[in-house]
Amino acid sequence: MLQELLNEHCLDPKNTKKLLALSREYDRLEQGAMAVSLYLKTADISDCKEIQYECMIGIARSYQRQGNRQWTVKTGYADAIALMPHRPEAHFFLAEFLQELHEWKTSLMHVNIALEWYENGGRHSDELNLPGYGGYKGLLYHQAVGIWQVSGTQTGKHAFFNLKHRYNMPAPYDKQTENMLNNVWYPDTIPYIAEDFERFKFLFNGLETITTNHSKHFQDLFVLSLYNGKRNGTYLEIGSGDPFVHNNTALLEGMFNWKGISVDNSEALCYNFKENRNNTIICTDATELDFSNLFNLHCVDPVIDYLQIDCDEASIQVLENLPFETHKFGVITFEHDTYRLGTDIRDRARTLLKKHGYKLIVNDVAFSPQHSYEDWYVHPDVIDVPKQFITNKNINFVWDYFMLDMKD
Amino acid sequence: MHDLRHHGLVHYALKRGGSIHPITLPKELTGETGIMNPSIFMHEGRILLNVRHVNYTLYHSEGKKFPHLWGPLQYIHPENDVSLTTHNIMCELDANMNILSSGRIKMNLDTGEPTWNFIGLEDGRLFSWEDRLFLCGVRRDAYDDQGTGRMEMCEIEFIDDEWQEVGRHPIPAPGDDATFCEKNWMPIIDMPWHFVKWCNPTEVIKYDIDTRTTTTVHLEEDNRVTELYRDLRGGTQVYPIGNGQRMCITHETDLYKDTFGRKDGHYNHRIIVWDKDWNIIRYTKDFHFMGTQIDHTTGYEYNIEFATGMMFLDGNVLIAYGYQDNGTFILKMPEKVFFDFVAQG
Repeated sequence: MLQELLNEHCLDPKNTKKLLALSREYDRLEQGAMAVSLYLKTADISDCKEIQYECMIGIARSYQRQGNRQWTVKTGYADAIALMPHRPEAHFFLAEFLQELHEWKTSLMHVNIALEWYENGGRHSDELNLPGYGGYKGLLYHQAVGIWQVSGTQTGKHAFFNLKHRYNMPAPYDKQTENMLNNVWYPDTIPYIAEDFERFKFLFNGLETITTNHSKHFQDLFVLSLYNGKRNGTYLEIGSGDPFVHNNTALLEGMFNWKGISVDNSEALCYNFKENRNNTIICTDATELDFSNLFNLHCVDPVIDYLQIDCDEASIQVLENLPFETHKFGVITFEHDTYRLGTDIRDRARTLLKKHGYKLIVNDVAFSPQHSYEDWYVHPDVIDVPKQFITNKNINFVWDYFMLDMKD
Repeated sequence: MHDLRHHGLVHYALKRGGSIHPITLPKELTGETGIMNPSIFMHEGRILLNVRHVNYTLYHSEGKKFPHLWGPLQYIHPENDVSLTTHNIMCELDANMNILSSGRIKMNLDTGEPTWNFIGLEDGRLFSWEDRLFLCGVRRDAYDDQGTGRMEMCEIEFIDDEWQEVGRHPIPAPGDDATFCEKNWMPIIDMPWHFVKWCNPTEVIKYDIDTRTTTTVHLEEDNRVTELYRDLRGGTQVYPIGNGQRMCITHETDLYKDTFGRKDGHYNHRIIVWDKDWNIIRYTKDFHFMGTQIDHTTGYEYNIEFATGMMFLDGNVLIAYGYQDNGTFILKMPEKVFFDFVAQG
C-alpha cells in the first residue's frame, strides 16, 4: 500500500490528493516524522482549506505521539483552528491534549466552542480522515472532565453520571467515564428529569407532569409509585433537612397535596422550612421527642402513609422511639449508612421492623453501584406491593432499580 | 528535457523503469522521529543499509504557508532535551529492498560524557576496505564544548546477532589539524584508506590507520570547474566505473533567511565523474530526488534531501537518500538509465 501510494505521488508530485493519501498512510503506519513532512507539503501545495485543516491536525497529532513537544503540538492545532475556526475537530484534539497538560480551563473553552458547532446543527464530515476524533460524545466526555477539574463540584459529578447512565457512550469513553465516576464518586443526588420518563419502571398517575423531583435518590417517586400517585396522603419526616434540596416530602406536598409533620434539629433549616413550605415543621432533637404525645397533639391518624428517618447515626435511636404499637406506616425509608457505619444499625432496624410486621422490599439502597445507605420497607396491611417492586439483589443501586436499560 | 526541478530524479527514473522504495522502521525503535541520511552497501553478500536516527523531527514549511512558531525550518526536539542525538540503525535488505532485519548498532566504545550536545556519529557512509566494514561520519561530541568535529571511522562487525562497534578511528584533518569541523568525506571504494575531502577543486587524502595521521595526496588548487558556483560537498561513496574513472553523488546547499530573518534552506544533488587523475570530466545538472517548491518571486527552491550512499546491484544503481531529515528512501535505477542521465550532463 505504502509503496503503491509513494509511486503514485512520485509520478504526479503536485497532485494534492495523492500526496494527502501518502501522508495519511505514513500517519497510519505511525511513521510520524515522515507524516509531518508530507502533511506540510500537502498543506503548502493545496489551496483547499479542508485539506490544509486535516494536514495541520495530522502534523500536531504526529508530534503529539512523539511526546514532549507541546509548543509544536499546540501551534499545529492553532494553525488548523485559524483555518476553520468554527469546525469542531481541531478544538477537540487540542482540548484533549490540553487535558493531558492539566490546562483545564483552556481545554474546557475549546470543548465548549466545538460543542456549540454541534448545537448549531453542524455535522462532522467523513471526508476528513481524522482517526481518534471523538465526535459529539467525545466532546461531552471532555466537557465533563473539564467541569470536574475546574471546579471539583457536584456539577462535574453530575456530568459524568449523565454520560454513564443517560447516554450510550462509545468506546473508549464508556470505560473512561466509568473510571472517572468511580474516582470522583457518584453525585450526592440523582435527580429525576423529564427525559427519564420513558425509562422509568414504576409509572404512576401524575408522573408525566413531573419535570424534576427533590429527593436525593428517588425516595419521593418511590412513595408515589407505591401509592400510584395518591393525592392527599400523610407523612412523618424525621430529619427533613432543607425544605426542598434533598427533601423527600416537598414533591408530595407541592404537587400531590400531602399533609404531614417534619422534624429537624437545625434552627436555620427549620426557619427556612417555615418560610417556604405550608406543612408543619418541628425544630427539635428527634431522639428526645415523645412521638405518642406529638401524634396526640396533632391528631395523627393511626395509619401514616410515609415515614422517613434520615438522622445519620441517630436514625436507629429515633426508630426505636416510635410508637409502632399504636401507629402503622405504609412506606418507610430508613437511613442506615452502611457504606460508612457498617451493618449494625441496619440489622437492628431490620429486626425491629420485622417484629412489627414490616416487609423489606428494597434492601441496601445505594447511591452508587457499591455504596448502600438505606432500606425501604412497606407494611402489608397498608399496601399491596406489586411484584415488580420487589428485588432480591444484595445491593440496589437506585438508578438501576428505577430505570430500564438504555436503548441503543 | 525532463523537469528535474519540479518533479525530481525519482520521477525521471520511474518513467524509465526505475522504482522507489520507502524504508520504515518500527516506532519502538525510532519513537517516530526522523530517520535520514541512509547509506547502502553490499558487504559479504549482504545488502546493508545504515540509517541515521535522530531525536528530532524536522518541521519545514517549504511553501511558507504554515511556518512553525519559530520559523519555516525548525528542528523539533523534545522540549527537555536540547541535544541533537544520533543513533545508527543497521538494516539488512533483500534484493527487493524489503527489510530483513533492523537494530541499533551497539556503540561499545562510547565512554564518558559527551563534551557537546551533538551526540553520536552523524551521516555515516558505509563501506569496506580490506574486508573490514566501516561506518565513517562526523563526531562532534568528543573534542571540546564548542562543537569541533572530526571524521571518524567506526569499524563494525556482526557479533551475537547484532551489529557492534569493534574499533573507533578518529581521523585528524590534514596539515596541522586546526580546522573547526570536518564532515562529508567520501570513502573511495577501490582505494583503501583514501577519501575525497572536497570535490572542486578535488582534494584526496589518505589516512594511515596505524600512525593515525592524514596526508593530502592530491590537490590542484587551480583545477576547478568554474561553472559550478556552489561548493560540491560530499555525498555518497566514490565508486570506480571503468577506464580509471570514478563517480559519486555530491550535494550543494543554499541557506536563506525568511522575511523575519529566520533560517531556511535548500539542498541540491549532482553526479560527478572524475578521470584517473581526479579531473572532473563530467557532471550532471543539479537535481532533487522528489521535487521541490519554488518561490515564484525569488526563484528560491526549498527542499532538504541528502544522499549518503549508493551501490550497484544486478544491473541497477541503488541510491539511498533522506528526505527532509524525516524519511528514508532507496531509488533503484537501471544502470543504463543512470549512465544515460550522467552522459546528458
